[in-house]
Amino acid sequence: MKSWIVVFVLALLAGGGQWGYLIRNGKAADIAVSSVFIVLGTVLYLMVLFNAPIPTLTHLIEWATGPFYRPIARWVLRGAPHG
Amino acid sequence: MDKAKITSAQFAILTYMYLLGTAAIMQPHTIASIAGTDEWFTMLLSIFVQLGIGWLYMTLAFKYPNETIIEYSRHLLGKWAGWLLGFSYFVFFLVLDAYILRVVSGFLGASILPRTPSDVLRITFLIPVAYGVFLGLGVIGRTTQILLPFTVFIIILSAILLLPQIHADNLLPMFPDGIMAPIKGLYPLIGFPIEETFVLLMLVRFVVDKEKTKKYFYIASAAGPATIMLITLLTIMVLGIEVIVRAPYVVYDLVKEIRIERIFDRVEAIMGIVWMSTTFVKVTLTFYAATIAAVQLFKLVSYKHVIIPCLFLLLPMTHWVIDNTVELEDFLTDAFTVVMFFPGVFFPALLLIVSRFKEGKNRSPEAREAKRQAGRIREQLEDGEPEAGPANHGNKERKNQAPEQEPGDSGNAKSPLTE
Repeated sequence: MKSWIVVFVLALLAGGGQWGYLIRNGKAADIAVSSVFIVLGTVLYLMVLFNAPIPTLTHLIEWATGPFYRPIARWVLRGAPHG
Repeated sequence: MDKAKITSAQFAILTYMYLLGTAAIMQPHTIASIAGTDEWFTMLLSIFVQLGIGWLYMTLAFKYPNETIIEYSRHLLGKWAGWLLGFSYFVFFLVLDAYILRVVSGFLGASILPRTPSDVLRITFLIPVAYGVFLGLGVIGRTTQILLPFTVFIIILSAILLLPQIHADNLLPMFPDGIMAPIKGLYPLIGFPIEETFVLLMLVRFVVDKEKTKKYFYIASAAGPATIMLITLLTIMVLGIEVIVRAPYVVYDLVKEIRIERIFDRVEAIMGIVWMSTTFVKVTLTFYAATIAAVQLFKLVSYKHVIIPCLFLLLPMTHWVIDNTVELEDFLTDAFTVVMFFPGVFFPALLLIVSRFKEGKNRSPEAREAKRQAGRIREQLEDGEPEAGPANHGNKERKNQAPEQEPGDSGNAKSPLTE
């Protein structure tokens, strides 16, 4: 199933609709921020859909906060009855 | 035009529902692996932790009652550092929303609608969320007021119907590993849901009757963990700790035990609806906070302009945040508390310390003398020009009317937040 085409078309439609609305009601900052969000979301969606080799956010967070949380988590789970 | 105002009672109800959120269905299972049969005591302790963090939030928020954390972080830390802190909050709101949505769709997919694609579940959940955010905080507050009695009624009814199946001896032995096991059990609970309440720092600005806010907020802050404690007690006494450790959505399994032959069956679906409503409040508030943060950070015309773009960002994030439920459980037990420590405790505490420091600076002899002189000039003006009186009270009045004004505004009559 070419679901990425659906995603891409939906993003285009939403982006187009949003663009048209913001040109009438918003200012440049609204258009820029909205466009950035939609593009980022679409790129991320396609990467996830195509199983791009990117680590999950949880992996990234665990890697970044590892030195902080690991000693605490080890202490918390030490001797836990069902840990 | 929605004025984006809520009452203190609505704010407290939002807090209560936010605290129940997904935690009530997930946490009895997570804590059981650490605290065992004493997890009810962990929940009891969490009431005090929640109140402590609630005190921090209220103290900070009431220093700047007409601003959100995005705005006063800029005042306190300066333009760039404040903007960066605000941006980190925006990212935290989105990430938190993605995790909550992932938990909900995981629960729905595993327990209620196993054949439905996860994207369909998420989009179905997000449509009313986006509509709620579009209508504004006032509508979200009133919706929550309607959902609360239903939620409380179902919880009480379930508890009553489960009474015949209670085995109090499931609670025994009490404290077999000493008091440290339940204290250690606090660790995941502090992250989820206690530290997550930093979202409320975005909402105090919209409360109209602020004199009651603190009292109601503390009541709700105690009631949330207390309800989770009662649910946990019931779960242990009915199912026993072995079942709790094995079942990820144990409260849902608990309600399955309610069976009155041929009259009352499959009650768990109703319980599922209750959790949907509490989670709806949680996702909506977090999403609302993200859009408000975007408006204040990027100086947009209206928060409504970023609802659809934020949805487009949020939906793939729910895929990206985590691979499977086991990873999520490990993350909630290990790292989540430390991650949420930054927006939930560290940044608010830092802002509070900076504001106290700045207040202290203003209390220097020179500042005091300047204040005294300003007071003297005001008195002279009032004595000499009685008609100037109301003008001098203008500041006070303006302060009280500030919720209607634009946060981070540039003098625009139209408010991006209250549109």
